[in-house]
Amino acid sequence: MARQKILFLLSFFLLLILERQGLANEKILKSVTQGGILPGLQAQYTEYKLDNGMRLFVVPDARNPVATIHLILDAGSDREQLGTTGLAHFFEHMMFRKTKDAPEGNYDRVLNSVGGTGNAGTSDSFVTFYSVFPSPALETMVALEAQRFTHLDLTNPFFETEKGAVISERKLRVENDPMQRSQEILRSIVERGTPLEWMTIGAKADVENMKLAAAQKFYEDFYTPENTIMIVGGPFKPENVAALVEKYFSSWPKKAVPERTALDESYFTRDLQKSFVCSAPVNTKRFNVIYPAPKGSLKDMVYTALFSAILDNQPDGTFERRLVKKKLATGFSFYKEFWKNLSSALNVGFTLTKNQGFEDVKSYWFKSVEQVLKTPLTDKIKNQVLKQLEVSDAESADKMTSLVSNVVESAYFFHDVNVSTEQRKLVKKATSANLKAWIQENLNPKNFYVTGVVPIGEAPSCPELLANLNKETK
Amino acid sequence: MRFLKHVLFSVSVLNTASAAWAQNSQLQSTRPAIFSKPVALDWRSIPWQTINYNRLAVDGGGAIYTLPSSEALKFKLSFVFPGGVYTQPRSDRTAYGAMIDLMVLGGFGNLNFEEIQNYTIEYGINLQTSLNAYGQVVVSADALARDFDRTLALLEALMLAPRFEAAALPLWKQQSLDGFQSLRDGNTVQKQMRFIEAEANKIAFGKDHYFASLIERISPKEVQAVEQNKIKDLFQKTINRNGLNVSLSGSFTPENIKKVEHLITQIPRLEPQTKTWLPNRNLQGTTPKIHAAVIQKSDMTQSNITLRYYFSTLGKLNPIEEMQVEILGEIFSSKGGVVGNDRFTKALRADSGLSYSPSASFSGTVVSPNTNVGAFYLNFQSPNEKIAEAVNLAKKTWEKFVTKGVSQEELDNTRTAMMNRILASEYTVFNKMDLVMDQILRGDAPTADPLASALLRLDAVRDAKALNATLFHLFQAKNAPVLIMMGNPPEEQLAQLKAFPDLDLIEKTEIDSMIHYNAEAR
Repeated sequence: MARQKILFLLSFFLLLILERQGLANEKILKSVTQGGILPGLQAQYTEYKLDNGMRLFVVPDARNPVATIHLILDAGSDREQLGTTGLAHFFEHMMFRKTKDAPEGNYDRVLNSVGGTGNAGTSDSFVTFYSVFPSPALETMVALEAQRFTHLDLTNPFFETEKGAVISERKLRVENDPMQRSQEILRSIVERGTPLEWMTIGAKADVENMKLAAAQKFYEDFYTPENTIMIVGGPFKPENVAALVEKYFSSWPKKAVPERTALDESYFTRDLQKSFVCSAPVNTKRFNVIYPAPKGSLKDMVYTALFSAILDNQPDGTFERRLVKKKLATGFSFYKEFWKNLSSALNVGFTLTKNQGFEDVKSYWFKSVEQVLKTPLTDKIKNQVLKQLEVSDAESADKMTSLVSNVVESAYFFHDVNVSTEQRKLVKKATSANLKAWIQENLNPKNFYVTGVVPIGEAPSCPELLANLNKETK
Repeated sequence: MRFLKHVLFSVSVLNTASAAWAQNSQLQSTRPAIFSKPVALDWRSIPWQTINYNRLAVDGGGAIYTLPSSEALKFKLSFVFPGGVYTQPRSDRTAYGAMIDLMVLGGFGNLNFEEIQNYTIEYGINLQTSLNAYGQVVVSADALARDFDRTLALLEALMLAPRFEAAALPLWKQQSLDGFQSLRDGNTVQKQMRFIEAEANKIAFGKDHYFASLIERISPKEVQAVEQNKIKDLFQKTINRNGLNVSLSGSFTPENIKKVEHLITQIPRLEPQTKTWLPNRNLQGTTPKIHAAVIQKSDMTQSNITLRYYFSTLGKLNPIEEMQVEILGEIFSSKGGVVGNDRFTKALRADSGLSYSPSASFSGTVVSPNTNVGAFYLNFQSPNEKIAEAVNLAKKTWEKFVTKGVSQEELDNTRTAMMNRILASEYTVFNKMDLVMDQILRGDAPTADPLASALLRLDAVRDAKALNATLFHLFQAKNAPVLIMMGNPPEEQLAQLKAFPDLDLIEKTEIDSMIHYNAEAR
């Protein structure tokens, strides 16, 4: 088997011996930590740190001859400023266009030629790039990634052309949808004065007027090794991956990342008990009850799950099912915004028909929270959440790419790869008393504000609401 | 990590899927990171892992296909019933959809829906009823291996003791109407494609075609008309072991297989049923002009567009032609998730910046089962005020492709890239089973080594002249071109489109005229 494979690799890349000689001259990185990814399962990771500050995680997995590279950076839209909104996302697009000493479109052509597929994504708190490709192409792909992270060539006409694609994407995701357009305005109201005020895709005028110099500064400020985590999965020895990454990324100069300013404490209290409701050409209503909170922890994630499990555990159905049966709402969502750098609100969402009233569903929500407060945390509920974790881990263990996604999320959001083990410990330790305390703190019936979009005629239009509030502020 | 919701702004395009691979791969490569030409892998030396599934015939016309894995922690069990929605008359199709939902929502055994929901949440069981691409009813469940018996008990009750509680139907109607309203209002590409599909198929195949009535059969009027007795009647005709295909993959024991076999013997044995294609299978007619229509939706600043070329014989290709068409499709619009590396995304996005996500693909018989028709779809977006420019660019890009053909270099690069991409497939026991079942349900004998087989066929396409001969022969044949634009293009743009000599413009359809309303719902 090994002999066959070496022959195959030789035929693919030809210069095995030379390359191994090359690797022998590379600095050998020492691993920082090693450990399991999922409790009770064999999946392992090894973490390294380059001298320039970049962190590398390697997830060895020999089940298939396939590899993946993820890079995740703290360079999302909360790093932007008014006037250059949308830059983080626009920049993500530019990362695919041109690097120095290579023709335009080289990244995609090389990726495609090795049989790889890939994409990228931007949110308010991060940007991520990822690809999947045959494992023998690892060095090609590491070199290719290093090229664009260290030698991007921001240049025209590609910069101007890409604006067209971003403007089209903005129309597709925001402008074409009255609900999204309204949410954009509501966001500018409730997040005013913070870097969360604009949507990740940015304001239309800012995208249209985006300047090369602003993009160059964003690249220099935030595309830095200390701001980057790289995760590689595939049939590799971790030390070999580390040597390759060192070879191609060690010349990336170390540079301090501009510090983020924490949100002022008043942000978390300034709108409590307020309601921001506006109208748009929609036939369904959408309301959100938002409980502002500073950056959350893994405990918040676990307790959110325990709260949900109790909320749903009724003989007449889950909370959403009860809402539908009682004709109070047609849809329900409940989540902690754990991915945000600056805050971590609990967000409760309701979708209503035009004949349903928000006050009814709001009142039912508060009564239900009260009911959960009075309900003891039983072993049945804890076992149910543990079971959900176990099933989720079994699904992650199924594929190398899923394991790597798990490491990306854990390392970036929770700074701890072994999140699943910690989650289980927290579930087991949870008691009725500490869950009750958490609910009282995080779902306090006085500590929320409301946003809503309703059909035309039921409230001022969203632009009118914004204008009215601006007048009041002045 | 179920708790962690993805919040990415763009969507990932990750391949899945193969072969056991030895540890300790070296990381050698001196390939330049600047593109010159794809290097072909020596795929023949790879020890491909065959898919060693088993087939167990069950008395009465059923069969169990099994594929075990010692690594998997879960199992997946699926029952695919013969017949399906395509065998039903038009008047029963909405009720058939209701039946699929109400098999669970209406309760079964001694559990009502709420109890089923609580039970499946408690034990992490994923239970589903659905329709597959062939219109057949699929009942499936997956769970941790140790929960096999309780999962099988749920499936048994679902198939043998449904309750179809009377109160569930009005609630289903309410939720269906709410869902339809959301579909009608939503301006996402996915939602709008359903309206665009219906309109395109109406023009190509006529209004009676199954795919032309896509919107009609989920419209308020049809939903309100569904009756409880009809649902029960359809269920009785559907649950049949004569022609039943069951698949079991992942972690399970021989004892588990025996229990599945026993369950199948309890399912009634009815008359054999075959997949049937009831609507007419012929194109309305071929024409050199593009038949165009606008679905008017005034709240859109950008239009979602499809330009389709329906060919009357492209659905019946031989295996060599199939692979040639696949390569041609890749040259025209790559599925590799890269931009500007193919003709279509280069024209519509990389060079012009007109459209964020243009894509094109060939559709053979899967979308139009039992017909001879195959189609090439070009989907893209355009700002309303540039719609004539975008349509013209898409049209010209296609015309150049089918009249000038492809170069030897394009063929070589594309073939090699496609072969390399197959090597990036990530196999699991579950997607291997999906591959097997897909072939069985198509009526093909499953290939034990599907990746090697695909590579072999790709590797054989080496001559650009032969490829162009197929291209000219197939794509210059008479066809029925259809253009549907959903959005709010200004009159001035429509006037420009009308001036195109190869375009028969234009029916303008208000979105609500596609929907069957009754008085109350409207």
